[in-house]
Amino acid sequence: MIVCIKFLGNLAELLGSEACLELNNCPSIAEVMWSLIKDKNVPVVPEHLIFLSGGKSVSPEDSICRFNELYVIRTLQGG
Amino acid sequence: MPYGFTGKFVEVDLSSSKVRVVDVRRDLYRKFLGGRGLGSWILWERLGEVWEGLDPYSPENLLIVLTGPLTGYIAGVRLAITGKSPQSGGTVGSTIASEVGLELKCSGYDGLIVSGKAKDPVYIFVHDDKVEVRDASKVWGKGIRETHKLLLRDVLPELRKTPRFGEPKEPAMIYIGPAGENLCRFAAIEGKYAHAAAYGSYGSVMGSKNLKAIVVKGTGPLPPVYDVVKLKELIYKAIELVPKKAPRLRIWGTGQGPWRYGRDLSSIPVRNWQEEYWVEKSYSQYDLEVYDWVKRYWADYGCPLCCMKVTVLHRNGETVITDAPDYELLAYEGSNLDVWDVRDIAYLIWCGEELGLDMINAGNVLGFVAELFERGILTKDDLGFEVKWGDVKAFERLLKMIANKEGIGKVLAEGTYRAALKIAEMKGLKPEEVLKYAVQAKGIGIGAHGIRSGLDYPPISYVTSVQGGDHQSVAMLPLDAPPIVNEVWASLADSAVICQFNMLGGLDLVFDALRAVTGWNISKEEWVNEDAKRILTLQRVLLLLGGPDVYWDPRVHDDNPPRFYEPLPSGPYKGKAGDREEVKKLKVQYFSELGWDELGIPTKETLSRLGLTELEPAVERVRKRLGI
Repeated sequence: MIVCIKFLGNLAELLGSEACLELNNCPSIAEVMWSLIKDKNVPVVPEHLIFLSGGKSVSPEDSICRFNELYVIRTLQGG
Repeated sequence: MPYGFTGKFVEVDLSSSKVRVVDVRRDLYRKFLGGRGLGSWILWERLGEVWEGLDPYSPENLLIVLTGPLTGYIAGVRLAITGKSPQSGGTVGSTIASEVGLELKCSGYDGLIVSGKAKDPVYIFVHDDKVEVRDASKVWGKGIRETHKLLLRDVLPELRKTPRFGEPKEPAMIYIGPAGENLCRFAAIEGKYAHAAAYGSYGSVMGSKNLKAIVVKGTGPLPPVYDVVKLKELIYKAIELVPKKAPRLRIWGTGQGPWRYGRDLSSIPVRNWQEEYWVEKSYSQYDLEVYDWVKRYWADYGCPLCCMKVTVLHRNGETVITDAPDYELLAYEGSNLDVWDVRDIAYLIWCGEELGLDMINAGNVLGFVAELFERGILTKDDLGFEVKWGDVKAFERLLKMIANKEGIGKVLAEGTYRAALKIAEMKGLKPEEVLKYAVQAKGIGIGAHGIRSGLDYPPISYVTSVQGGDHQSVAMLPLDAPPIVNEVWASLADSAVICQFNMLGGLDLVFDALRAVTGWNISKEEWVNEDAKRILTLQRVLLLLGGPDVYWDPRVHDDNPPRFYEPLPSGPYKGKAGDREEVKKLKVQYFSELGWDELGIPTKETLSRLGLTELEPAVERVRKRLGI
């Protein structure tokens, strides 16, 4: 299975519009995100990332195979 | 355990570095909620018997950091701090917009009690069940911004050892600057560069304990609530309603105030309250926008109002990141000092906050000094330089001398009231000859809202307030008068520990939220007639016990500053002044409404009705001291 992530905004300028990974099984969202961040050297702080699907928040521990489309949101810290 | 609470406090004895977790009696939560109310009760229980003789700077004093039932649930997070106040000798529920409260609750505690005194500078680090006393020598002596950065550098790598998606690791923290370390009697506890718990001078209490900062990160959930569905509904309601009810606050913050209080209401301090009206010279938050300083709306956790604004300005070779000045500081570092350029005002505020000063009381002291200089009571020989109205450099120099207790700064660091007594002694004058220029109540410089025009604060606002000059908690009649600064409602906000601006969405919203979180069905009437009275009565007794350097006599000190009885010299309300007879009448009426006698001493019946019979011996001690 291939999982692709589309970057928007500044990240797209930095990393191109898309990055894909080939997976053999169904790892968690967190595992996939760690791989992407590490492999592509994505300059984000993991703690600021949350995941949404169908407008609802999704646990990073959920299997990636459960979702057709997943939004990765970088939250801004207040204060 | 009641819903919305953890039921536990963590207690740190800095003398021994020992940490213990203490359970709080369930009934106390219902009687005092949290924050100001519960903190006052803990102080009474532990220190009540020795209160009058207790030096607020002794290791025996407590610094109590508290959450409340609504902390973290409802919009706009706050934290309450209390202890025996070095200013009033009583207690002040001093609050700050800070996530420390939220992080404490997520660590499993409703509050933190600090006792003792560390041998060397320390900070307290709370991370869930890990509570440690750590070396703070490298931040001792530093200003608040460097302290913030260095502490983050100290703890963040450790917190980020176990990164998790969606779990921010940045801790919340509160800290003091040099003013607190040097026991300046109007030192604030600061947070996030520009927020402060100012009234009460708990910054100096932290300094007396060699405690530079408190750093907290919790990873647990907030405690369960009684009705989560209703609470969610109320949170959305608050988010929608509060900004709608206060659109100007959202856009301008309280900094739009000078227009209203100076021009329309004649109640802004001008040159140490010699006047309260201005029209020809304008300055306010609008000017900040003109200079394009406001870079971003600034929301503390969960806040839909964002009355704070991130501001960047360049002054004297410094790039300053701060919040845009609010009304109180625009008034106290502006018109009160005859400084009319907002860039100068913002710069002065930044200087004082960097030193960890309460900038309301600092502005109060600076205005007092400038007037004494104008009148020849203080001279260049006393001060080392001239302090004329509008002289920003002289004021900046004084702020540093005060925070570091250098030269005359040592006297001025005592705050307006005590400084007036000392200056009178220095100059061989009668105390009243200097006190008449001190615009304060019970040792606390009053907020920037005058009473003389009759359009802003009522005549007894500061006279009978249990928190002296605190402009956010003032006495009003009738007891249930709607302004959110009425101490009946302020005691609710400070004990439930929420931002007072939530009340702009209506008091029902707050009571509904309290019900949804705790399951307690507290009505407005019940709050006014029982809960608020219980908290105010407890604070009043501690205030009257006072000491050890200053004791309040209700016959003398339950009064406005003399200046408020001088007729306004300018503006459309020229000639208006406080009326002593009216104040006397209203004072007795207010005391009576609270179940206190004509001197404001709670009666036995009131103590019994409010479940405060333990206070009877303390009340007897007050009577004995007063000879009645």
